[in-house]
Amino acid sequence: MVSGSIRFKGKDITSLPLEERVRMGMALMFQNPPAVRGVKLGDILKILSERTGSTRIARLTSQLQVSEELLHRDLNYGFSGGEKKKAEALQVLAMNPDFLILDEPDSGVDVENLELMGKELSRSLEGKSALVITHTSHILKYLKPKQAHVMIEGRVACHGDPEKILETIMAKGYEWCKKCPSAMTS
Amino acid sequence: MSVRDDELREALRKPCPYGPDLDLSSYLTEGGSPENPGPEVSAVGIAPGGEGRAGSFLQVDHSTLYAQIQKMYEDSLEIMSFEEAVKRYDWLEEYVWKAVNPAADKYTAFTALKGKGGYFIRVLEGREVVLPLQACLYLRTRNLLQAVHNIILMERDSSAQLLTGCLTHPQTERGLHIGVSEFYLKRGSRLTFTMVHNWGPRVDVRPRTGVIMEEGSTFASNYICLTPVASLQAYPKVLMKGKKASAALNSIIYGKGTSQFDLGGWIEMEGSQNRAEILGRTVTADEAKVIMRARISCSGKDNVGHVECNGLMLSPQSEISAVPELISKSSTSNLTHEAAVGKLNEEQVLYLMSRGLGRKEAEDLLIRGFLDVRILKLPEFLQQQVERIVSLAMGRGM
Repeated sequence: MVSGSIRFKGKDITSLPLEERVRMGMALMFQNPPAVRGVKLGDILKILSERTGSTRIARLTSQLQVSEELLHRDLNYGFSGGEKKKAEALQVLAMNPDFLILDEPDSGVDVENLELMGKELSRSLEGKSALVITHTSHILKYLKPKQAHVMIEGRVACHGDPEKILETIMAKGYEWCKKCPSAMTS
Repeated sequence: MSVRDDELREALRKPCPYGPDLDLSSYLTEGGSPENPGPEVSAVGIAPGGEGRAGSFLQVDHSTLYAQIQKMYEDSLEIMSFEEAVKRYDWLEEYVWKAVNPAADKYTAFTALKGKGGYFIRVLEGREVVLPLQACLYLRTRNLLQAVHNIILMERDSSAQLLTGCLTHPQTERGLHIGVSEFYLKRGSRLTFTMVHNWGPRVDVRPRTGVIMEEGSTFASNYICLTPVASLQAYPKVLMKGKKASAALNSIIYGKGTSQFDLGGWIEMEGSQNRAEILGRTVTADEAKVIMRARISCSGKDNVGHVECNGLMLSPQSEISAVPELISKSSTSNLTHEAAVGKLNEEQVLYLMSRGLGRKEAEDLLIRGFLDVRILKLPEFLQQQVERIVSLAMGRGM
């Protein structure tokens, strides 16, 4: 960050360390999570189940169709694109956060897994808040955001109704956004 | 190998090229206190009453306290002290000092001239010993030099799992353990050998191991040491004489304090179509120093070998050296290696923290993962025991 501040639940969290932000109820679904050899996906879920309950995790594991085999593999090591996304979704939803950042949940994942994940995210996010980052908008078939923002060169170039913005970009491209009258300049 | 006494006395002055040189005269060679050890033996995987074990051997200082076999295995195996075996079987001279050179250095020479005790374990032809065997070598007396000679003979098509736990009494300061171990795996035999060491920060250790493998045999050796030691130097050698055999030397080391480790292994493939693997995982903290040596050599055809040395440094004052060596005289064999030494990956730490783990919790999880005993491919019952040993050691403070 070069200027400004980040506020969450009425509190300035700009300088708050990562673990404190998580403790306040934030979670991040990584676009490209690192491989963590020696730590199994199941190991993380076991830790999370001690904090949020094993019933919830069992249900999520089943809904996302995460296999027993995947739970016993080293986290993200050799996972396919779909497996990575499902593992990410499973972990962040298991945390039961109040605010979820989804970084390109639809990149590198096939249509079947996207549907599985999208439906569960939609269900689990009811009553909660989320920031969805996407370049393809495929996830928007399952998640219905209230607001969309287009960022170009570090500023919010355009914001408004998600469907309208998407239609305009599809028709006129991102160049149109640069000239958008609703651009945020500060 | 026939070595004369004068050659052995000469070898008493011969230092080992690796590891700190020790003055053997500074240790006690007589005496000892043959009392039963306490529950501390469970820290090295030993079942005190022998429950769940096909056979058990216990030596304290220089004395064999027991060598027992469970009734159902009495016609499958033999367990006795080394001295008793030498007395009983003339044919044993075909094996004694054939896998290890008694004049290799001062430690082997001392054991040849003045060693006391050690075990002889023999699994008879065609016998499958399902329950694990266990042997415990316990150093109780302060400043004692315990030099043992072990012979393990796997007859044709036999199979077994042997767990050897070596440790000192919790209050024993200073001592030296020399353990000469000779393994003979006849055709088609299979042995998983797991050694767990739990010494003291002023105890020096010099294992001397030789393995001779015939066609179609399988040998897996797992070495685990997670507690401080003054110095430990070992370089076991496996000779694959026949073909289609498989050997793996695996080690998990956690160096703490001022521990000095210099260990590894050498697998030589004389025959063809053999497989060899040397895998080492090391974590260092404080001012510990670890040298991981791993050599695979082959002269036979169509062999496959792989060396993997990975080190994780938790302290900038510690040191890890990985020395992989591949030597091939066969253009149809394939030898590979990988080696990496570094610190905890910050990206991985932050990733785990993003899941709600604190920094220490995330780091502990990564270290446990690095020392994951599942890489050893142990049999299930040993897996759980060794996992427990690792958990206990990690819990005692990293």
